[in-house]
Amino acid sequence: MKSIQGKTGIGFRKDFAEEFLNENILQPNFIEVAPENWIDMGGYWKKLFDKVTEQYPLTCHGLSLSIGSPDELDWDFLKKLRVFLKQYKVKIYSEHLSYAKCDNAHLYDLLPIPFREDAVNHIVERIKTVQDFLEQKIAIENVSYYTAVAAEMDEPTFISNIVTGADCNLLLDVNNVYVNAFNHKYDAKEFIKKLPLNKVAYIHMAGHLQVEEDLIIDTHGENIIDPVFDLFDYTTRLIKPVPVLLERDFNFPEFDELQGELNRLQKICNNVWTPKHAATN
Amino acid sequence: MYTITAGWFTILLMICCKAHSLFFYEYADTEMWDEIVNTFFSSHACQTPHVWKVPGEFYQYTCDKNLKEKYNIPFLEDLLLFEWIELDIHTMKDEEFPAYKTKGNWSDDVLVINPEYRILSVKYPVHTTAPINIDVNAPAQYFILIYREPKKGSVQFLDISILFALTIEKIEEEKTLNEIVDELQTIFSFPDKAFALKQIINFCKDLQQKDFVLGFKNNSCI
Repeated sequence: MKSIQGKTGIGFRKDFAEEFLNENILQPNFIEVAPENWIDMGGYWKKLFDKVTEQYPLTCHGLSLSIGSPDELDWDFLKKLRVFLKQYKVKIYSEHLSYAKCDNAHLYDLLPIPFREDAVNHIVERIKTVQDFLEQKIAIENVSYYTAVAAEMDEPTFISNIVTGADCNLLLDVNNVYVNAFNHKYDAKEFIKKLPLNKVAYIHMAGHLQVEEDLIIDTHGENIIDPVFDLFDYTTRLIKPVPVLLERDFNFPEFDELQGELNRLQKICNNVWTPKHAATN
Repeated sequence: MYTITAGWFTILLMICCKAHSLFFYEYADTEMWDEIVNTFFSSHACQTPHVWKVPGEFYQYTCDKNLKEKYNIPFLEDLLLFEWIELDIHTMKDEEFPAYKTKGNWSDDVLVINPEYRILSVKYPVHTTAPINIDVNAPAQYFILIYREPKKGSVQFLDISILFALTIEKIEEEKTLNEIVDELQTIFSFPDKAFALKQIINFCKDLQQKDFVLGFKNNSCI
């Protein structure tokens, strides 16, 4: 399969799986899934999944690793994950810089980690352990958060310390930067400049929902707005070509509308990431 | 449980519970549904990282908390079990299908059955009767064969008698139908064993048409 560097992809959802396979309107260069939603599956869904992964390169964006949790890592899940990543030749495995499990309970949410040195040290060790076990680097994603928890450092420093300490990659969610910058009133571009941009291996782009005059929520259920496209354009000029995913999790429009967003993202990638950039990678 | 951090994820989880407990959702009034589900998410330590398996934990939770008595819904556990097993059978990992041959002797060859199945034993006819029409004063014993049809992966349900439920259990033990009739004679006291065998063979032939009985054990594989 072709390289996906500098290419656009979309989340593969059961909601539109059949139409995706049967119609040619939506044409991503790769697809992404949450491995938790496809591990241990058989029957109809597995047949469909095998069919789509024969046609498209696959990335995985996990939900339950809970890298920031005080709980033990879920080794049963990690063993299944390792098999899954190898079986489907997954190009990138990413997870959230958050926690989703506490006191032996899955919370099915992505909760904010305090930006503190003890948290950095804890997470660095966990990422190293996971990378050793999976025998590959993982990419950690900056998450949206709605209240900072007992911060002792700023978020770019927190992220940089983790990525550097664990020697992992960064999944840069540009919409999350926009959402946090809006909600917490800081400059999104200045934020991005402070990140370890040489470690960006993957980008996520998504829509959000403005629920109050001063509050937007990272819903993944709306179209991407122009300011987020602008921020994406700005970001691409600072990094090497990487895969770019359009995240849409519900409230799906017609396929041609989604393809329109993919086209716009790809146009930005093509404009910025010229053959000169591709040749150096 | 709603949090502002990623409310969309929690909403998707609630949708998953509703989608896979649909009969119960439609039966319960909004207040009851919200109370049960919100209490579940706020008090139960969910163990699975797979969201699609949460309805299974939801079912077990309602049993552990004896919610059928609390909400006076005697068939609650049966209903949620039925709905959860449907999902589980549809989605479960592929089982290895044994080797078999399509022709054989119905009485004396061991039958091979589809391994992707469950037999449920319930007290209320949740598989044939809408919840609102269930007579809660008349519990009985019902058996449901639920299996995943191999070609299309769709889930099939069959209301079966205890005789046929036990037959399937003994086919799984690799008994021939002749041996099974002999064993079941001690339970059912068939007045006419030959007739009983014929009935059981007809049942199995019907299940073969329905892709549950696959065929006959291929003895050359021994």
